[in-house]
Amino acid sequence: MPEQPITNTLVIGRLIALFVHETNNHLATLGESAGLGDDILCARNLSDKDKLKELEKLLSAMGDRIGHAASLVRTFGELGRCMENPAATIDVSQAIEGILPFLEKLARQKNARISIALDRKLPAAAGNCSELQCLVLALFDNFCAALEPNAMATISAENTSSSVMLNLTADCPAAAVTEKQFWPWSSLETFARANGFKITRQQRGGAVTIELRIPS
Amino acid sequence: MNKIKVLIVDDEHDFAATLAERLCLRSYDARIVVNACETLSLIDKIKPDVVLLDLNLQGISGIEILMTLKNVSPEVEVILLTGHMDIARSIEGLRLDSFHYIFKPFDIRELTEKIDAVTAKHGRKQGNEHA
Repeated sequence: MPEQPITNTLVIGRLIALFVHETNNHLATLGESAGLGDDILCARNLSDKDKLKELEKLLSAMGDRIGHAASLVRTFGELGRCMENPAATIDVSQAIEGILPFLEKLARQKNARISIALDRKLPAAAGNCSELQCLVLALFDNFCAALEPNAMATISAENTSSSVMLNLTADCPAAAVTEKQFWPWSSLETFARANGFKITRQQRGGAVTIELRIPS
Repeated sequence: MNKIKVLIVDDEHDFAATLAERLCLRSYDARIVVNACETLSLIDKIKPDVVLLDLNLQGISGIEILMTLKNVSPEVEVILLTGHMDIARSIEGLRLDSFHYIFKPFDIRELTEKIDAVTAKHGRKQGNEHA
């Protein structure tokens, strides 16, 4: 992506693209499952009993898949609600959790293992909700782009006396972080500052830590 | 008759597994890779006739894998799977001599016809019947 200022539109576009991609994957899987059901019904070498057993398994998997898709739609609806209503309040952990499914998907592609520890007592954030979610998404994007294959990463959020701190830590060579980032770091810093947040990035040995400070 | 070997590269495991099962029912030898990193090592091992490659893999783009694939194994036929009309990237694919692509979700008959068509160039033929 060329160096350009981060805007809400840009990040929302990315969010929509991720959402559509995921939803389409669910639909494609459901389509294939329905087709497999048809294949099973037409199979000449299966007894009716075996067909029934296979179809039961398939229907159960399809039910799970519909559940995943519905949960994604709910999450996206919630993000949309916050974005269209500047007065909406949102739990910081909710803002982070809403975007976690995308992060997990991005990380899975690299076989990365992510442990997540969110403090349950995070305060509600009023105002700047959509900006906060946009920023979290962009940070997650950068974080995943820099992850090495099979990396171990941790995400934690804790309530300090004056702020909520989101920490993203992973085993990454420094070069990987700067070369592979999806969003230009300087633009992200500017975007964060303009919306009252602060982000920092530190390299300690082979590990990189990205911090997001949210005033509470 | 040797079965046509199909390698499905898609990070959506359930989709890839179901598609593989359906292709196997149609007498293809279908395997899956859900992680971009494992694709290249497996290519060398199983030497597929066709790779079904998800264009929108996260972390590394399908195009990057396609370029590497064509470098290490130029004879392998690649059909790009894409979730949306990402024309720009498809055009990039065109330049790489990979003009086969199919939009997800797709009809299995449409896919098998495409697989048969691209492998026919190499003298491979596959029936489309399933048991």
